[in-house]
Amino acid sequence: MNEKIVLIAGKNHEINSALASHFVPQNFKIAYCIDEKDPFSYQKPENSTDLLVFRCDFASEEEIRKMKDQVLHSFGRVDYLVFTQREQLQESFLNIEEEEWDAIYQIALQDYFFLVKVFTEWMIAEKIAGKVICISNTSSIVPREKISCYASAFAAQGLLDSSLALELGAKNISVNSICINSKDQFEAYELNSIPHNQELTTFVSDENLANIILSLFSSTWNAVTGKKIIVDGGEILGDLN
Amino acid sequence: MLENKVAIITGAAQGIGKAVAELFSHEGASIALCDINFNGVEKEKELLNKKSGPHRAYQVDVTNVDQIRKTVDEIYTDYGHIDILVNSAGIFFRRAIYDLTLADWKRMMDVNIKSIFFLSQAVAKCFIEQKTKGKIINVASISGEIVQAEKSHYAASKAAVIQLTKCIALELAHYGINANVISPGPTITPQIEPVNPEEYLQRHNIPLGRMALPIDQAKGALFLASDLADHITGQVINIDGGEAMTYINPISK
Repeated sequence: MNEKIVLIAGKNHEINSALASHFVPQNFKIAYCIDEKDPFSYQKPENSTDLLVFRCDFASEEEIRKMKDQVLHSFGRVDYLVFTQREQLQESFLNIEEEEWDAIYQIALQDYFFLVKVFTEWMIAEKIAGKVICISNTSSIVPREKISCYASAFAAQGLLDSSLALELGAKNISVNSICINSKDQFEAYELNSIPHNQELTTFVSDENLANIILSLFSSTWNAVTGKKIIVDGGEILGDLN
Repeated sequence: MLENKVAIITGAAQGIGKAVAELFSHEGASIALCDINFNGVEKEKELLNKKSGPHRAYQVDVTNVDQIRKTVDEIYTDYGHIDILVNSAGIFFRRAIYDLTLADWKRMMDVNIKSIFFLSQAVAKCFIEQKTKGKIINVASISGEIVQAEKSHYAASKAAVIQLTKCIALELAHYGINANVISPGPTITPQIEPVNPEEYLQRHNIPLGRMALPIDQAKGALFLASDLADHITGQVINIDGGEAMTYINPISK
């Protein structure tokens, strides 16, 4: 799996940074894409030429296309897309304002769709068997209070993934998602549904997530697409049964 | 079944919304008919007022949150109370991924999900203020749970409607507010007129042997709006003649 190019985008910078630092030693080259409106500043490892940071306005398809040209100019190709949304909003349904709604839906859905559209269009033209991996959230499956906006956007993203998988499958591009739970979710809801299994009462670590993504890059998963992989230590079992 | 109730129905100028308005008015409700097509709801209001009432027509662009809030306030003032909201306004168009523009995307999301959020929010505040139970019925689609080509944007918007409704149901339950979904299968409305029902049946398996009519959807909405469904919330009722269960790729929830 050497010399593959991974594009990492989305607002979950903790995960993104961890993935980037985990992938580079595995001989991947990283295009780390950040929305130009995002104040986050990525400090890449010293002397690293395997990781480049690109910025553009994700709200503009034209800007994404320009960024794609820059990525291709630098690396020559893109094999894998990893998208990590993060704009949690824990707020009563009754109090959410239009600006908050627009921000959540743009980050979780619109940005994702147009990044996938632009880069997979190029993959298809170049006959690259690409892989798209979206880091989603268990709130896309289990409804809870005070996350109506956030959860509905993730549910939409879940079905979008499946639809993308259906349309891109014939082009040899797979689309899968990994649904994680997050620590702040637990803290916010004081969830008591964690199975009483000590081994599973932890949250997925960044390293664990990186290894799962590495596994999805491998040929082991070449025939799998449209799959939602739940990595939550069994948390939602208590909600679903 | 709905005597003395006031129901707001969006998308009431045609299709499912119009059928819901007709059935609800027949069952005794006063209807606030809402649509961007004011001539359409005016005409419908005149027809309904010949049999029952009072019914009123309101022009509202559901993609404009300010207009939504003003219209709900106006309806609340006009009737003095609101009991039922049916979010029926929606759009549908097919697009392959690479033909879908940003404008297409925004239009689909604004009409099909954002409008439902802010209408539900505005009406829920009225329910809470008047200290009465209330019913919210959102119209999704079986496309919100099954995967079909060239519908990625539409399916995503309808999946969002389903999950949003469940979250709303959880959050508003302690106020005595119910929120549920009807998920139509292909329904013969002006929106899908280009579809020939006979051709559709040749290509799709509908166990009950026909495409749905708007009245089929209206009956489902009536059930959820009525006292019969007082203990039902956060649920999705597919009204599709059984079509969704014939797909091998339903998205398990």
